[in-house]
Order: sequence, then structure tokens, then C-alpha cells
Amino acid sequence: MALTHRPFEIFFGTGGVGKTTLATARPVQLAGEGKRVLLMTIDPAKRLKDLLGLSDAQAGMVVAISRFGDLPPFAAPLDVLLMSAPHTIQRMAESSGVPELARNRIVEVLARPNGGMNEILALIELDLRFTAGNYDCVVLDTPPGPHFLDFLEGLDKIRAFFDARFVEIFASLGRKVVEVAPTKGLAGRLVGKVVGAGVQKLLSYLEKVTGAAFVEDFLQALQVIYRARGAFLRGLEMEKRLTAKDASHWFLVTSVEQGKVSEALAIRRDAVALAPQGVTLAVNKCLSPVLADWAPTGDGARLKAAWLAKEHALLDGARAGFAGVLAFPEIFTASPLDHVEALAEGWKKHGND
Amino acid sequence: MTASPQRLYIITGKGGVGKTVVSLAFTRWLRQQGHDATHVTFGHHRLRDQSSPNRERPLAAWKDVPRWELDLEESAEGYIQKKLGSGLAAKWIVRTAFFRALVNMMPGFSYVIFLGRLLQTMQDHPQRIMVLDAPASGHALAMLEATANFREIFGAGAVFDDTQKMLTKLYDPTYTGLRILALPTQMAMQEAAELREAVAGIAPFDARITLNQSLESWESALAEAPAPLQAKLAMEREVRSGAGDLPALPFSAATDPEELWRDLGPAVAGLV
Repeated sequence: MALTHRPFEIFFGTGGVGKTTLATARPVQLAGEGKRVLLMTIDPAKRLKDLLGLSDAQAGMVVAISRFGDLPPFAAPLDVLLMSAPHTIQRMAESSGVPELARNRIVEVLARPNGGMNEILALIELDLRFTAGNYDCVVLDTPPGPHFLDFLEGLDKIRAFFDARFVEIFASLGRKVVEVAPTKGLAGRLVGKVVGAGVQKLLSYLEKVTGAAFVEDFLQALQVIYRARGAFLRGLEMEKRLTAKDASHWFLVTSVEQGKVSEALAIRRDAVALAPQGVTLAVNKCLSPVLADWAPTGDGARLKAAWLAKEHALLDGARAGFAGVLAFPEIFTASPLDHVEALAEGWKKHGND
Repeated sequence: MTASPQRLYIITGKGGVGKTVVSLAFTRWLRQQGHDATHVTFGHHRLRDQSSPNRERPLAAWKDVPRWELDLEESAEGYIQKKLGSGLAAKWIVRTAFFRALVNMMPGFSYVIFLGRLLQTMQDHPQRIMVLDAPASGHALAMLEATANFREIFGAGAVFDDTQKMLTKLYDPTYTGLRILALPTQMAMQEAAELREAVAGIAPFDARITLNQSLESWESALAEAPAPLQAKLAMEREVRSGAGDLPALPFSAATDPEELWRDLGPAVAGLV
């Protein structure tokens, strides 16, 4: 299976499977072949920074790496971006002329690593970087965990939030001046009134349980976000780009150590909507190459059988549901640098399949 | 009956490390010790208009273990009903597009709702021990931070008071025990240690690391194995010697649930 790069390569998976290492090895391989690549991570654990020798101080800025480990220097530097939500918000505040966006208390909390805005901000950052740079490939390493699909859901969040109904909310509340999209005729105005009345009721309940100060802060946050909506809506541009034909590779990473077929299949089902050309399963830490050299009896045979069963369950059972399956071997040293270099070799081999 | 020092056990770790199997085994073991223990998971973290397809039930053969999967909408409705004193208002609120978008926008909010429901139930059933099969590591941290974040957002009022009460219970090491499962590899241990440190930065949690999928008991089986496989055991031993005396749960080659229980059952006692 030829594995030419595509403009966007997204790595997702449940974490602890070597996703970040594999997602780092890919740009290392591509940069080694002279491609212009940007590697973006929104991984709060900052594992990538350790591998690439980057510091927290460089978060939010694109850093050019000219070589990796003992590999030959790259023909063109590999760009790396450790995403930083506050930096993205700051850029958005500037570009939309809404400085309050970067100062609002609630927005600040939401922009924290686990606050909930990360996926949306990642999409916006992805859009900003892609349009600014001139990359052959942008590799995105998504945050690990069962909710990594929040990344995909980020698009829905943007859409839902800036739904016309919220325009009505701002209009009906009659607070600071907000630009309102015109509603269509009598029906539109009636809907507007009903929605408006409903929201007033909701807010009055909210005031009872949270106190008026929170409601005030919250409404201000909504308004500030709304005024900066141009910057947010850019994130939606990404959807068109990501779903264009042959525009992206979606790699679901799992490992023999920790993989579960049922989980991989469930994730593929959810992801397939956004990746019409399909999801490729990348199975990391395969042991079969080494196990082939071993012919044990007794407990050894049980152990080998258990390991092989796990591997086969992933490679064979999941194969039917995926656009492709790539196997990567386990690396038996402790050095993350060794892992990246060996996996970059693995990518090269798959490129020649 | 062995004393159970805590009422709430939160089992966390990277995705795929074995949280579900271990948390189920631990719940089963607690019950065999005479405790009223339930295995708990959080349902989907977003409010959705259609119900989700039924998820696979791992180890369904362990029928004697009660399982409770919390429902986000039901939990939110229940809480709002308590606060406003009106079931009708609660029903209406959780169905508004605005509320749903709000909850879905902020995943932390769903954690607060789930935790609130869980802790409320624990208050109503003072004998019950809950074993929470938590979301994967990064999200366990999010779960713990979420409550503090929301308290900060709310600032004052009834919800603030409630989140404050929740935090007190969560942070009380005699009430809550956090068990971080990690594979016996250097990278996994490092991440577990980072999580433990991050958690210690929030509160004096009783947070302990337990290794899972240990190859230690397979030493003789690996004696004639190719060098790389022996290196796996060697690396595990290096990790363990560096980390002090950590409990370790064995890698199981079991092919059926009762065999798995024989392998794991005795070992999970160390989680208490």
C-alpha cells in the first residue's frame, strides 16, 4: 500500500499506544525526504516537547528543527508547533479586534488544557498555520484519551454555538449592541420571540442557583466570543479542507500491548463520517517478527499464544473495517529517540509497499 | 471482612492499560470480602438527541458484579430538580438547545455533573463502596480539575456551595483513593508519575501507582525466549527497581473469564 503523504495527516487514538512517537516519526521521515512539513501537537502532556528538545517557553510558536537525533540534517527544516491555547486566543483577539477575548475570565478557564475549548482552538490554529505556511504536509497529533474524538466534535461545537438561535439570544437580551442577522419575515420574528422568552426563563433559573455575578460574566463571555466570531468560524474552513478528496490521512493508532478490536472498530465508525476516504489503522508494538524466532513449550507457549492472539485480533479482525492496516514493530530500547528513528524507518518501509 | 479504608476508588490510567478489567476484578474482590461494592462508569460525555448504540459489556460472565453506568441527561436533570425543587423545570431546562450546547461545549461540565450524581448517591447509601472505572489519564486529571475550575467560574451561590462540598469529599484521602494503573515500561511509569504529581498539585490525594501486565511471573517461561523478549522483562525490572515497592498485577494469558479471575483476583487486593 503506497503511503504518499497527503496535505493533512491526523493521528488519533486512546493514548499510551505510542501515538505521539508514531506521529513524530512521520514528519521526521517526510522531512528526511525533503518535504516541507509542519507537526502540530495539542497534547497536554507535552511528550513531544521532550522528544524534540523543545521548552515550554516555545509553546505557541513555530520552531524549525533542522535535524533529529543522529539522522542526517533535513533538506528543509521540520516545523514544529506546540499548541498553546492562550497564544491562539491572543492571535484571535488581535485579528478580530476584540482584545477582551484574551482577558475574559470564563474564556480563560475554558481555554485551559482540559477546559473544553482546545479542540476548537486547534482547528482554528490548524487553519491559520496551513494558510500562512507553504507545507506539503501538516501532521496533527491529537490529544490522547477516549475523548480524542472531541477534536472531530469541535467542528460541531463551533457550528452549534454560532447557530442563528444564539444571535436571537443576544438580540432578545437587549444588552450591549450586537449585530443581528435579519430573520425571515413574521415566522422568523415569532421564533425569535419564543426563543428569546425561553432563554430569559433559563437565565433566571440560572441566576437562582449560581448567583447574578456568574450570569453576568457568562453573558459577557458569550458576547465577547460572539464579537470575535469571525476568528472562530475560520475553524469551519478546516472541515472543507479535511474532507476534500485525497486531502487527508486519518491514522487510528493502537498497540498490541493495549489494543482492543472492539474499541478500534467503534472509533472507526465514529470517525468515518469525517474521513470519507477511510481511516487507516496503525498497529504499534507488534511482536510477531520476534515471536517467529521462538518455539517454546509449556508456559512459554501459553505466553506466545496470548501475545499472538492479541496481535492477530487487531491486524486481522479490524482489517475489514479500515481503509488500510499498517503494522509497526515493538522497539526494545528505552530511548524515545531510538523509537522515533526506528518508526521513521517503519514509515519509509510502508511507503515502499 | 478486610477493612476498606476508602469509599470511592478511582481507577485511572492510559487508554488500554486494563482499567476496566482491573476495576471489575477489584469490585468483585471487595464484594467477596463482604463489602457492598459497585462498579461505576460514566456514560457518554455529551448530551445527544438520540441514544447511543449499546456498548460492549466486557467480562459479562462476572454477573455477580453490579455495574452502574451514569447517564448524563438523567444526572443533570436530577441535580437541577433538587436545586430548583421542580421536576418540570428540570425536564424543560435539560431539553433546551441552549443548555445542551452549553454542556456539550464544556466537557468539564459533564464531569462535574457525573461526579455530583455519584457523590450524591454515595451520601444516600453510606455503606456502598464505588469503584469508578475512570476516563483515561489525561481525562482523569481533567475530571479532577473540572470541579475546581467550575467552582472558580461560578464564584458564589448554591452551585458553588455544592461543588465546594464535592471537592471536599474528592480531596479527602480517607474518602477517596486514586489508583493509577501503568504498564511496566519506562514511558508509562513516567507518565503515571507525572499524573501523580499533577494530582498532588491539586490536593493531598491518596494517589498510588500500580503496575499492570507484569511479566514477572513469566520469568521461567521467558528463560529460553529470544533476547528482545527477555529485554522486556529486564526493562520491567529496571522500571520497578527505580520506582520502589509498587504493587504489580500480572499479565494474564487467560482465555476465559474464570481463568482471568484466578490470575487477577488475589492480586487486586493490593489496590486497597
